[in-house]
Formats: sequence, structure tokens, C-alpha cells
Amino acid sequence: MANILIVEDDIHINELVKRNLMLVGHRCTQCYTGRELVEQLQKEYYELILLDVMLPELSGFECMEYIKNTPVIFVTAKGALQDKLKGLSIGAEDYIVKPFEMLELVARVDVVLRRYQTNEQIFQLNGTTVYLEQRRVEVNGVEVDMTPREFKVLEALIINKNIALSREKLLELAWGYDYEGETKTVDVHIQKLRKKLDWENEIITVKKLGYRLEART
Amino acid sequence: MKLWHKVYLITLAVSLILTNVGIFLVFHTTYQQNLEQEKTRAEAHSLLIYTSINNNMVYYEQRGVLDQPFVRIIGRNHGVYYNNQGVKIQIWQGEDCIYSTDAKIKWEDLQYDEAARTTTLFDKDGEKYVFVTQRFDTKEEYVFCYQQPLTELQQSWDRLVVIYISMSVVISLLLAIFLGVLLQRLMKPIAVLTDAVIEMQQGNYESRVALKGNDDIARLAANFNAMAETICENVKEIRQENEAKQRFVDNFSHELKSPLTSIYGFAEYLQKSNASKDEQVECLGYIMEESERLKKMSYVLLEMEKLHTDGNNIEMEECDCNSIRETVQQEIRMDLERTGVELEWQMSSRKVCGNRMLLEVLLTNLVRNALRACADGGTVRISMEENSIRVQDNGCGMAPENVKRATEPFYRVDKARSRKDGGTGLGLALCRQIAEVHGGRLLITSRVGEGTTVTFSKELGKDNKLYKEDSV
Repeated sequence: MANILIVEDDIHINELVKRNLMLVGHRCTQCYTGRELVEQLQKEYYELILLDVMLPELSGFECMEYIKNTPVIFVTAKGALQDKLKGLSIGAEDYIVKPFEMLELVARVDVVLRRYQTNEQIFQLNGTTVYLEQRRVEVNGVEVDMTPREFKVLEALIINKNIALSREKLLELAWGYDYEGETKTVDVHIQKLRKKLDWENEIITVKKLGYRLEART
Repeated sequence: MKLWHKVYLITLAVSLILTNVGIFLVFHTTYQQNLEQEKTRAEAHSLLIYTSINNNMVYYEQRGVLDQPFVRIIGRNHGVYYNNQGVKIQIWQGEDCIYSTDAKIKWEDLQYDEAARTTTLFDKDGEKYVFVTQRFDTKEEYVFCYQQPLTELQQSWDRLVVIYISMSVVISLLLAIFLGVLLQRLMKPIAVLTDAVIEMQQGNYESRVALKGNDDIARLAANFNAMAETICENVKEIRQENEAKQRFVDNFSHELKSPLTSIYGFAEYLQKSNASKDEQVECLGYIMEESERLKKMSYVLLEMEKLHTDGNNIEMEECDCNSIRETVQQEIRMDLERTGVELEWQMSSRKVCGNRMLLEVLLTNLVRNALRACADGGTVRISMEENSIRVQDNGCGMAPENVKRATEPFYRVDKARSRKDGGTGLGLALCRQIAEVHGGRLLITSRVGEGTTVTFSKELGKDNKLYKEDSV
């Protein structure tokens, strides 16, 4: 998917972010200081930079001067309103406060990448091709009919691939925050997707947690 | 109403009243005296005239020729003569006026006593007179009336009254002005002082009063300045303490967020992803490391809190330097092996006075810091004396800004490396507290590239500068 640079001085958190993003299919490079960031920028082109504000020597805000043409998301423990405002006013695309949930990180990264149209628009798995932008699905070359809701569920599974999604979360992602219905409808839709896309083994049921689309590359 | 208005009005009123009443009384008394004098003079004068006429009347009565026309003649003779001196006379028989220089006076106006001469003051139509009435010695009742108009006296008195009034007005005005100016001058320092107090009340603690002089108000001002100075310092101290507390809370919450992010994050990752066994072991390892870090942090913070509240009750004793050295050596054995640094011990005294466990913690922390600062193969020199402990290394050293903040809780020079070593950023903060509990201080000197020396000494009192920019 996308080439992402992670700049975070805490080793464990850096590792955490990397694993999360790799899970959903991105390629990640890690660095731990502002200086390393500048070096990396000269070596390679990145489609997104995740930047910690509190770095030794060069602060995240100061690093922004070296970053051109690449979207930046600030990841930091400083959650006060004025810090957020400062970050956004400097030119960041978004501002995530630690501690954060996996799904939140994945979703925000996805939103920014989509804004810059660097996200994959085509997803393929075991003979099935999903055209995310055109909202079309082909199984073994043959187009398959999908209801808008089914497609929404499918999209949620794809964006958060390899991550177990609870029924409540799927409800939230595909039906919206205001939906007051039962989670049974999620099960029904999952069943339909499995049948239509021949993904009985790809969409697996995770006990007590929910569903997960297995798409390891 | 302002104080000085009150004082002014009361003083002015009192002095004006007193002055005017005084002057008035003086005038009045003098006037009365003058009148009395006039009466006496008139009486004497009238006696003169009376005697003259009386002799004539008695003589002619004895001759039997005294009748009204005759009396009139006698009267006229005297009357015309004395009229030139401004005196008027009348001769009455019963209630008829036989002769009168001036017809204005009626019998009712007079006071007459058959037995004695009567002298009175009379006021008619604004004109004042002295009347003297006396019965002639004649057998027939003839009465003599002497009338002296007091016009001259009157006029001079009227002039005096005018002068008096104008003088009174002038004096009153002058008094009012003078008193006003004087009081305002006196009250001005109070206004200055009041302004300064208001300034301070509104939050400007720098406000001071500049007043000269030795009087009460100047003393009050001086004391006010002293009080303001104290308040200023106290406020500064409180503000600084508050800021320090706020910084601590900010740092602490930040220090908490990082381990929590890791712990929660990896747990969630393991739960929701299909991780391999190896990956599981790795991630669980991270979770445990971060938990360990939290544990250490809470332990040290608890220790610091205990010292803070219980600091005065710490047991002190004579500790054996060698046994402290052994304990510390044992504690840092692993770190020592890892870094290959040389340890040099210089013991100038057998005993050191203090709490044994705390001193061990202090020394262990300082030595660990020193080991971390040294690249492979540096030297760390430890010296112990009766009242001080010093740890000196020739490692990377610290810049002056870092030296100043080194003992702040959670402050680290190199965050990433410190966390990797398992550091909490609280070591020096704890050491400082241990030093204070022992009644001493921590002194840190450092030069980048040359090394750092940390000294704990009980001889460093509160007057000594805590941090030096250059190395010792």
C-alpha cells in the first residue's frame, strides 16, 4: 500500500505503530530522532509521515520545515487544545493523541492517504478483485452484485485487514454512529459476503471478538 | 467625606467662631465702656449747666418773678449758648415743656426721679442721646433735662463696625485658604500611600512609596515598603513553587502516557491480530518491560513522597563506609561489567553519618549515572568523607542548561537512550531529596566532553550556590 515513515523516539511505541501499519498492508521505515528523519527524507520518498512532537534535539514542529510535499500526522502525548491547534496550523494533516487505539490510527492514516489518493484503489485476494473507488467486485472475472451496505462492510474489512473487528465496531463503520439496531445484521451481512466472494476461509470468525479478514501478503 | 475635609471644616469653623466672637466681644465691651464714659461726661457737663440755671431759678423764685416767660428767657439764654457745643436742654414744668432747644423729645421719652438726678441713654429714630434729668431746687416743680446727642460717637463707631466686618471677612478668607493649603499638604502623603496600597491590592506587587521626612507618615511609608518587599518575595516564591508543581504534573502525566500506550497497544495488537508465536513472545516482552518501568517509577515516587513528608524522622547513625561501598559495588556489578569502566574508591574516613539505606541508594544512583555517561573505558572516581560523598566521571558531561535542570523530576538529557537503559528520569531528583533530608545539598559541576562531578555534602548550607556553570 503506502510507504510510511515513522518518527518516534520511544522504541516500543515506534515498534507498535510499525506493526499496526504493516498489519493493514503498509510499508514502514523507522527512525528515532529529527536528524534521522532529515537523512531518510533525502534517501527516499514517503507517502506519509507519522511524526512525534516531543523529539530530542529537534522538536516535531521544527522538523516540519524539512518536510515538503508529504502529508504529516502528528502522534504525541501532548493533548491540550493549543497543542492540537498549533500542530494543525503548522500544516499537519491530522493530530493523534497518545494513547490511541489501533483502529483509530489505521482509520486516520487511511483518511489522509485517501485524501492524497495514494491508497490502493484495487484490492485482490484469492481470485476476488475489489475496485474500491468504482465500488465493483469481480470474482474470477465475473462481476458480482452487492448492496451498498454489503460494500460498506466489505470496505471496512479491507481497510482494517488482519485486525479483528467487533460486531459493534462493524456496525459503527458500516452503519454509522447513530444506528440503534441489533448486531445480528452484521452476522447476516458477513455470511452474505462470504458466500458471494467465496471467502469462507478469508473472513474468519474470531471467538469472543468478531471477524477478521485474513490478507497477509 | 474625607478625613481632611472633616478636620478642615471643624478647625475652620472653630477658629472663625472663636476669632469673630472674640473680636466682637472686645468691640462690644469697648463700646459699652465708651458709652459709660459719655454718660459720666454728660452728667458732669449737665451739672455745670444745671447749677447755673438752678441758681438763677431759685434766686428769681425768691423774688417772686419766676413765671413761665421768665423761665423761658433763662432757658433760652443757656440753651442758645450751649447749643453751639451741640448740647440741648429742656425745662419742664410738670408735663409741659417750657423751653426746649430741640422740640423732638417728649416727656414720655424721659426718665425722671424727683429725688435724684437720673442719667439715661436714649435711642430715638436711630439717634442716640444721653439724657440727664434733675429737679430744680425751686419750690415749684421745675425739671431740667440735659440732652447730649452721641452723633460723633455714633459715627466713629459705625466706621469701626465697617472696618471690623471687612477685617473679619478678610481674616476668615485668609484662614480658610491657609488652613486648606496646610491640611492638603499634610494629607498628600496619605493619598500617596493610599494609591500605593491600591496598586498592590490590584496585583502590582512592585508598587513602593517614595516619601521623605521623619514624621509618622514617613515611618508608615517605610514600613509599608518593607511589607511590600516581603509580600513580593513570598508571591514570587509561591509562583515559582506552583510552576514547579505544574511542571512536575505535566511531566508525570507524560511519563505515564508512554508506558500505558505501549502496554495497551501491544495487548490490543496481540488480541486483534493473528500474530505468530514468535511475535507474541516479543510483544509480551515489551509489555513486561513497560510494566517494569511503571513499577520502578511508582516505587521511586513513593520513596520521594515518604522522604518529603517524613524527612525529619529519618534515623541517622554512624555508617561504616566500607560496608556501604560493598553494597553499592554489588548493586552495580552488572552495569560495571557491561561498560568496562574503572571504579576508583577514595575513602578518607571510616565512618559517614547518615541513614545507611538512603546513602546507599544515593551512591548507587550517582554511580549508575556516571557509568552511563562514560563510554567504554572511562574512569569513575568515588570519594567518601565524614560529611560528604563525591562521584566524578570523565564521560560525556552536560551543557549548563542541562546541569541546571538535572535534578528536576523526569528530566533527561537524552530521552531515548535513558529509556533504553531502563531509566526513569527520577534518579537525581531522589538524590537531591536524600541530600536535603540529611541537612545537606547536591552540587553538580560539568563540562561537555570532560565529565561530571556530583557532590553530596552536609557542609553546603542554604547560602551556597547550588549549580555552577563551569567545572570545579
